[in-house]
Amino acid sequence: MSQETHIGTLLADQLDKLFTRQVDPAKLVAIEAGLPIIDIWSAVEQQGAALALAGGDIGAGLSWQETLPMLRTLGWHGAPVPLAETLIGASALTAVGLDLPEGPIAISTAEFELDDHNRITGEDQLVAWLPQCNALVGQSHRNTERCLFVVATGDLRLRQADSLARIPSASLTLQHQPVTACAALQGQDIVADLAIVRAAMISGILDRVLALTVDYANTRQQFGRTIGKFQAIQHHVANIAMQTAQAQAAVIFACQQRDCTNASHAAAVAKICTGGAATVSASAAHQVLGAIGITQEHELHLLTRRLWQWRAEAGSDHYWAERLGRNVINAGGPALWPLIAG
Amino acid sequence: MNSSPFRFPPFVIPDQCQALREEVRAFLADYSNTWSGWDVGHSWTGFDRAFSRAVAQRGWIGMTWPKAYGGHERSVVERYVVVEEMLAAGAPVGAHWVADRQSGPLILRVGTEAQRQKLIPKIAAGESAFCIGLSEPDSGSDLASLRSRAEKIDGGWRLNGRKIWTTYANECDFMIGLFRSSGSPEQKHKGLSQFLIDLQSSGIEINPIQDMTGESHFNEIVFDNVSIADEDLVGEEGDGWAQVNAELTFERSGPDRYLSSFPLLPATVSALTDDTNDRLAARKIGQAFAEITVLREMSLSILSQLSEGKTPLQEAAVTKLLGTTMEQRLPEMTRELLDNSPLIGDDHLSQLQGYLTQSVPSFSLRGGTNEIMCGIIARGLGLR
Repeated sequence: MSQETHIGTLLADQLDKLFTRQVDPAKLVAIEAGLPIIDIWSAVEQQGAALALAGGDIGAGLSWQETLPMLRTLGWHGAPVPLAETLIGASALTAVGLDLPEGPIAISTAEFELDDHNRITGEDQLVAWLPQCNALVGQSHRNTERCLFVVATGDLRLRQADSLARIPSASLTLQHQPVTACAALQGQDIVADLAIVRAAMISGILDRVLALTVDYANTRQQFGRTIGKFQAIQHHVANIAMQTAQAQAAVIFACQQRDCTNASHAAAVAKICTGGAATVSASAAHQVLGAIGITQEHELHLLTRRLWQWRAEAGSDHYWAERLGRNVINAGGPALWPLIAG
Repeated sequence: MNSSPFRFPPFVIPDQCQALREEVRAFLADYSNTWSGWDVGHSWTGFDRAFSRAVAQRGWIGMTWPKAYGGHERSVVERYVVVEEMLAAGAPVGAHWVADRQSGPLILRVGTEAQRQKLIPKIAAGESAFCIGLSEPDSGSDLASLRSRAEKIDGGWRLNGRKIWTTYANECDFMIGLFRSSGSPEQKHKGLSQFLIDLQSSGIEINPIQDMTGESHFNEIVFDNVSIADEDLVGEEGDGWAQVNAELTFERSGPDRYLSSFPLLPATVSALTDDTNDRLAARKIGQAFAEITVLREMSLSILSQLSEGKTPLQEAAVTKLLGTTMEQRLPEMTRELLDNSPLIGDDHLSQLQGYLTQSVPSFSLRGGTNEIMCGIIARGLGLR
């Protein structure tokens, strides 16, 4: 195991300890209701987690494979802070040589137009965490040139946006909005990167859904025995387990591909597999937990609402499947197996 | 605390294997024009001794086995490359499949020196075909309740009972069969032993069973006072159950658990290329492509864990469940996208789909049913 892998695992462990100490279901609900995240965020920053993926002089420059344990830990804890977004934002900004803003970063997955005076025009209906961030990073184009931009959120008029996960979010419409800074992209794609990150977070949260479902099946008694003794329940649990396993393997593959700069292939495979896994697992977990699982009293809803949000963000499983499928169809039948096996 | 019950450390096939892969592809290209869609649908249940001998001549049977026994001492990864190329092309590897995957490794692991010398070189030459005698008329998923008996006689064993669903017993040379050598069926997995049986032995009656494709791959085998020698015990007496289960971890995670229907995917894509604006088709093809990509990663990860001496039973069980589910979905996906007629004509696609539609129901039965896999997974997670 390389030194860097060790650092990645170490960062994940630290993050796990921090979230275990500071974030419980009640806290997640409070954050959904708008509780400021400054305290937790400062602690995350102090651990050096936010700059793990970033390069340059200030970043830790970890690979995606090394960062994966952190992303899965973040997912397991329901992502109480925009760490995933900041990781990608910081990584993209350092890659194009731009300065990093203070505090957490929000990411827009929309495509904006950039004019000759470095002003952007466009719309994004849902930007997670935007009300809690000082900076927004997004992608834009000026004719054929593609640029990364960063804009201070204090200058923007935000509209509150509601979503399944209830993460503080906003929509925004920009007309010739001056950017704080921008620079040409060299093939990077923050939408694909966010898709990989969301997939990794789904994989992490699925581990928790599985653990929680097993625990409930071994505790809840009906007909004089724990419900986990019934085959019908065992099969639901096995179904969640196999989805969880597939999601895990998918994000390991995706991070490895992303490290070889195959970002959109990585994103497609990861998002397709984890999106499907999220759908099936959420449904099966709710079936096992019965009515308590759909109440605010139980934490399952915090997890399943995030699964439903994350599977849809940065291109849904269906979006990426269509994109990948079109490429496969265009390449033709005889090329299909070599695309998989090389 | 973040924890997963599964481990899938990534394994990347080294670049050096690419030459071998190209070699296999070139070899297969010479044959594939002679296979009909119906043939290709058989995949690793296609039985063709001449083809197996040709594969053996290239050194692609018993690839990882010692040279002293006719093997080639190549890596498990090289074997994987050869095997996945064969399956992706739907090559008729059935005459050597069981021996190469299962019986050969078993004999090398627990067999006697005499058994190794007698059998392994013949398998590696593509000359000896093996079948596996497990299921019985009254013992399917509850395999340990089997009743066929091996009774100790002077200098050997006397076999009585019946085996069923034995693939290609009518074509094979040898069976490795699981028999009760002591105790009663109520004692389950205690007292079971594996035996090497020459299928030409007197007292053996083989009755083919026609399946719904109209062909007879399955057989029922009746043992009526079949005498075999002491030397035909495989491994330790009474260790049969443990030996069989060790084999199954390999059997459940190989490429044969997610590639059995694979040739239908490129065939369907070829039929679709006229209409690239079909969004449903793009989505379905993209999904299948992604899932097969990940199944391959899972299978390779298990392979590397096995070669490190680990026994990833749970990982193998989930991979088999996911893989056979994918295999079964493909003919339905093709139907959904092409809405093709039930005609089985002269063309590759209709034959392939026609065959697979009728054979896929067995994919989630063989090697342990889906329900048995779910039970293994649930138990592994601490349920029950």
